[in-house]
Amino acid sequence: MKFLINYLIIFTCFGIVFGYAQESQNNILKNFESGNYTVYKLNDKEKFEKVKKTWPVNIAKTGDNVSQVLVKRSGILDEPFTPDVPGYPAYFAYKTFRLSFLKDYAVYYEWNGKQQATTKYILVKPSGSFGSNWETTNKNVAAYATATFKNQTGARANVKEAKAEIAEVERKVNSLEGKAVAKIEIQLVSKPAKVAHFSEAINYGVVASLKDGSQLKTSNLGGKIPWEDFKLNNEGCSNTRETVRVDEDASKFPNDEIVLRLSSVYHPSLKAEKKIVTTNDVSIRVNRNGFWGHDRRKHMAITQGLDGQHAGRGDNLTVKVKTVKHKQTEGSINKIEIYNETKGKTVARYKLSLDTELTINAVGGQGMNAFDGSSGRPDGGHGGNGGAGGNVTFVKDPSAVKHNIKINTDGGKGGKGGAPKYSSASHGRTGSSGDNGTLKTETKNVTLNF
Amino acid sequence: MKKQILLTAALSLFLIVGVSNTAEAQFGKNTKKALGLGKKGKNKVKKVKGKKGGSFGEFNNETDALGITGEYFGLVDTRAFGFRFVKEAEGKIVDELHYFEKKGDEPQLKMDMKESYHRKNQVKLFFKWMSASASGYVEVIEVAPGVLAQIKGDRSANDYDTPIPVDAKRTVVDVMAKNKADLDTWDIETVQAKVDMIIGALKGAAGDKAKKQLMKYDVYKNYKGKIAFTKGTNYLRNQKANQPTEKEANFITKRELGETVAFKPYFDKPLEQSHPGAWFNITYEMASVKTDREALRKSSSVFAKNIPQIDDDQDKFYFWYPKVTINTSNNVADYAFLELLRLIQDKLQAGQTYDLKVTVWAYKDGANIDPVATGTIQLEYTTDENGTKKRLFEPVQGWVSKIEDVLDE
Repeated sequence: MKFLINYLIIFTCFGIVFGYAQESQNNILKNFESGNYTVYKLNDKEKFEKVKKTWPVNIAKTGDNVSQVLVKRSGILDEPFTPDVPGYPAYFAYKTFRLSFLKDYAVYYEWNGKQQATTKYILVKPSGSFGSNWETTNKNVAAYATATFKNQTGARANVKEAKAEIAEVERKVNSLEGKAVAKIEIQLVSKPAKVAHFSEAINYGVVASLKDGSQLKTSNLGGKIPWEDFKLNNEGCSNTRETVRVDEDASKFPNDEIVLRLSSVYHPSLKAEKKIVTTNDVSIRVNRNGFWGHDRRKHMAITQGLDGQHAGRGDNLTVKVKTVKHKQTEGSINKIEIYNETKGKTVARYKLSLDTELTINAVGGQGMNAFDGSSGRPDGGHGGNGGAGGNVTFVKDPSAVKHNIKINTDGGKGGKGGAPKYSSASHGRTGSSGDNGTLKTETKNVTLNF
Repeated sequence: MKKQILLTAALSLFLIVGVSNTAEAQFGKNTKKALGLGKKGKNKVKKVKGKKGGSFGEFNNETDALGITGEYFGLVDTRAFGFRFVKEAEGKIVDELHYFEKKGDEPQLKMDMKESYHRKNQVKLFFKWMSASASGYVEVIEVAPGVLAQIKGDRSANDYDTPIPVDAKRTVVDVMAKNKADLDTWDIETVQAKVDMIIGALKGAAGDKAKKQLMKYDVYKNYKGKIAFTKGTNYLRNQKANQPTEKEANFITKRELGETVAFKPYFDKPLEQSHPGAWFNITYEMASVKTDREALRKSSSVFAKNIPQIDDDQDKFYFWYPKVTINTSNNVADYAFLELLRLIQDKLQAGQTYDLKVTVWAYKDGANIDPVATGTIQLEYTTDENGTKKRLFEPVQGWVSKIEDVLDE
């Protein structure tokens, strides 16, 4: 029987605490009024001590909801605390400080990302009392706040809904939805100097002319038409809003132009298109080099002693080039394809003007420098060997009379030997340089499918 | 003769020691004692109590441009002190605050005013570096007419001519008031709060200045509120604060799926200003599926361990260290992005291109409050044998395989 009574008492207490924990600040504050609150501050020994003067606290309400708690610190500094979620507040916030009312008092605390509270002050209401210690107060207020956060779903949804409503009103004002639109046009924010692989971004916007003669624009042209109003279908560049970049793969722009193309979501018959001819004149460097000795661990399991690690060899490549006519300007350009034989993958398809430089590096990696001798092993370690250069086959179509392609297949340098620990010990030897790769040039008919 | 040499040597030594203890050193010692800064100062305060100090009532008869000059009483060190604001000396504008703890013409400390704070924000802040260490820094701020806060900082000297920066931690160590009764109102805590308010305002002003500076950089001007993507983190790193020197030419809008993508968000305002008390969260959205770092952190211990909270950079206009979706050069990836790939793996098709929308959120109390930067990059599922398929689904090294392994554990 006694056990049952104890159990009931515990259960009741738990129920009270749990029920209490679910209450929002709006409910709890029904038991609080504006007035002069007794303040306890935390001292250096992490104990609460009473502050001489009371602090005025002013609770402002809008209907049943508390809209603001103004704490006048020491009666002179105004600290306006506002609810975190107006319909169901767990706390009132002022800068990084929070204020949660519990029982007879308010806890003035800081909060961290680990859901922990650090109490700074306790503000006790005129008729109230407070007798807890710092640690317990921190735990209680954190438990209350986290429990209340879980119950804020509805109120948060309301806030979200209210924000969404405002955004929707804004969207409708600026959207083409429901408006009589005569035409839409693509306008470049600035004219690009070069249109090529790796050239600078091309920024564009949309201008919609309405039948009443007015115009609406996207944000980057000074207007507010939402980009969601348009369906993009760009070619030869990324299919992205506002900013596009020329595709790195030349097969994506077979007609030597990029096409910005979009249609109106709300007026599907309205379409806009802008073609930009490629200039193919940005220099490119392609690196397919061997890894350096100190990166060897990323490529295979290694055992590291005093000796430096050997470097990797450059990749074997096949480079094909063919000169064709630019489909828009009729000028000559080179189509270039680089196939990585080592990785079994086409790594580049470019279209470049005849003078534009393309540097292809398939050089060996540099060997890792050795460690200096130690008391256990006085001799300096040996430097890692440099990697060999890749073997490159350069296939030129008979049409490719002129090009500016440079291919490097040098072997990598060896790493330096380590210094001896003592003068009697020996210096490690420098790693040997990697062999240069071969460069085989062939002239034969080349077929490039782009 | 020997006696004479010894006498001369002793006199010389005395003179050397004497010269090295010039007024400057003496001020430092006394002021440290008075301000209770440093262990030695603290230990000796009690010993000198009562021997020095006195009345500085005659200071109250003086007037100055800032209304500071007068006799003050301390809250912690209850003695009387004299403060005199000196606008001009020897025909030059000096704007100094002279501090007296002993009677006499010479002050024990001369502090410089940070003139721009007064000119632009009406803040009367005086400072002195007595040594390069943080404990050698003395600062006085007027928190109300006739009430001064003595402050210590947590930064060592970078430049002796400037006070510690606004983002440094300032701790009020004493309060001095012309009217003793004011000390009942202006206790240390209240003064600390007031100092925090003043510094907060200065911080806001500093933020405005930083923003003005940042707007000179095209990259910030063009990408404010957006996210820039690159092929590696090296394209997005900077050497100095508020100097985004990265080149827009290196930004990308399309990338092979499975390859390295680094990104950097640029904010309109630092998070601590736009959303005080919030921290960052990132969501990834592709093929109509969304993953959320914070939601994942709360969903399992695996994610909680591998997705760290982003609680840095709240005071910055962009992430100091760029983030990555995947970084193949050091085998690092964001688990939230990998989880996205795992969830959509059945939808992915070779030859297709997918929009990845990345959003950086202000996050507080378990919810995303507002987006602070967004960006979209296109990810192409390449058809090469060693392309995307291998990078994502290779049984051991594939990114999707890796996260499946981790989750299976």
